[in-house]
Amino acid sequence: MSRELRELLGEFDAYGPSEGVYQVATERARVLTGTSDSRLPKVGRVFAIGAALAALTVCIALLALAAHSRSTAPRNDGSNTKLRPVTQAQLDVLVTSLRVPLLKLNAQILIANTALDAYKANPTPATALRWRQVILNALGRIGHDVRPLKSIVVPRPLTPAWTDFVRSESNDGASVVITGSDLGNNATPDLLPLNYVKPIDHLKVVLLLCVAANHLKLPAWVGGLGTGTPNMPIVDPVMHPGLPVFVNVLAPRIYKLQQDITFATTHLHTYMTASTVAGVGSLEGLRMIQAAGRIHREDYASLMAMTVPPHLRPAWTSFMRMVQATATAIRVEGTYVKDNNLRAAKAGRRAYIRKVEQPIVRLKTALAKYAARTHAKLPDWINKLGTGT
Amino acid sequence: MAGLWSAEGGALWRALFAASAGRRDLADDITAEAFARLIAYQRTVREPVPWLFRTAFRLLAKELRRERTSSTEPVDEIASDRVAPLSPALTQALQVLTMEQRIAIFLHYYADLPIRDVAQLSGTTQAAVRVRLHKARRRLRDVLDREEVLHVA
Repeated sequence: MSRELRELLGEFDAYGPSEGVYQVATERARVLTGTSDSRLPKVGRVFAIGAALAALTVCIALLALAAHSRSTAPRNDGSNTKLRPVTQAQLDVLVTSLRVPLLKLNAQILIANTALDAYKANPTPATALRWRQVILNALGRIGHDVRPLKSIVVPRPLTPAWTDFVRSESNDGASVVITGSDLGNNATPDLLPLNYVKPIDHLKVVLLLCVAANHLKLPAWVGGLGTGTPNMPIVDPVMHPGLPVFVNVLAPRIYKLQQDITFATTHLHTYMTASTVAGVGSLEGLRMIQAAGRIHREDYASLMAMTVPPHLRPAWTSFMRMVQATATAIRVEGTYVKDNNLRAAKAGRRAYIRKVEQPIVRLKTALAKYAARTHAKLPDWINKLGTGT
Repeated sequence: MAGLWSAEGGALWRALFAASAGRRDLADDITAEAFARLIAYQRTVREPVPWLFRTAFRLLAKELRRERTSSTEPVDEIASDRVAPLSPALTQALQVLTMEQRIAIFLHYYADLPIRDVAQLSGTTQAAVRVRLHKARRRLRDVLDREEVLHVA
């Protein structure tokens, strides 16, 4: 009997878990750790609600008291005002909004400074002309890239440093207009007196000091900002022949990826707005899971088959990893939707949106940097990627 | 945790696959959920492997109970859609057993675990495991004998 049973059960050897089960588990674990404290026992819940109400009442009273004392306090001229410390939430919001424009700007600064080094090292007249053009292009882009930074609102303690930073970068941009016009008039602008572009170093120091003073955390990428960063490879200013070909091959594949991501997100929104209608969950969830399958099988494979220019490879590798993570995120969210688990779907929506937006943003930044370094012009459709167009 | 997945992930999945009588979808979902819970609460878990198996079996029992009480799908439809194509003899053998008996049979005869470990993994006593194995063997004997008769005929 035992032998027969063992032979019969031996058939299970041929079966195993589907691909991606572990990834689903890790994604789900993230959701669980984010919401693990929401399942209080009934009595605990009553106490928690009571405590929250009491805290709210105290807050309202304190706010009213503060408003009263402020309206009756003598007017402060602002010179000795002790500013409130920056909170982690404020810093996170600032750093998130700064990330893309500041990294773009930093790339241009590194290019400008490296090219200045090369120019000042007395190269041959032919290469000097090319380096000069690189410097002018990079400084021109600095002037252009600094424009969106002007509209960013920073916490009050950082305002003076921020204003200095934006003004210095704008001055660099403005100085180029003059030298650029000289170049346009066939005059030879003298670039040797031009100093290295370095206000970003000052901004970084201010951010680091602010973080240290308030015991906060900064993301790692801020540490890599500035002119003291190890040199990024700068390509000789000759148009790289591979990029236009690469971009042309990329276009249909990236559009397909974006189409699938938009498809899944649209169905998630449909579910969120009509989750109470019978059958909507299973239908929309199924479509999301199908979209995840398409991304995982078709889009990933077609992107994987591309030949990537050498300097773009590290960014491309992380982009491909993000594509896989996107497929997993859509599948996980799709499973919640299919099971009509509105609570889990809502809890995971923010992580979902972050995951699905990441790969295309990352690719756009990498392409922009690469194009800047190789002095190639990117087609307009790349700028429209990821904006829902 | 990746080490635990490579060591126990397959075994847990097969145990759930057997316990659900060949439901691949349930085995995938519940394996993922059990591992997710272990990752999330690992600081409070002293013995991860028994905890993982017990959680998974409890989730499976809950899911099967929920399907029985709330599902409007006909049973045949579920079977054709999501059940893996096991051999008829094994399918019939699994279907005559209860979920607890399937777990006990699988862990004892497929995973070659002693009664003590089976009891620990399924969250019950050794006596209960012995009873389950005894009843399961009695039911299976009927099925296997009938199968043999059919083969001979």
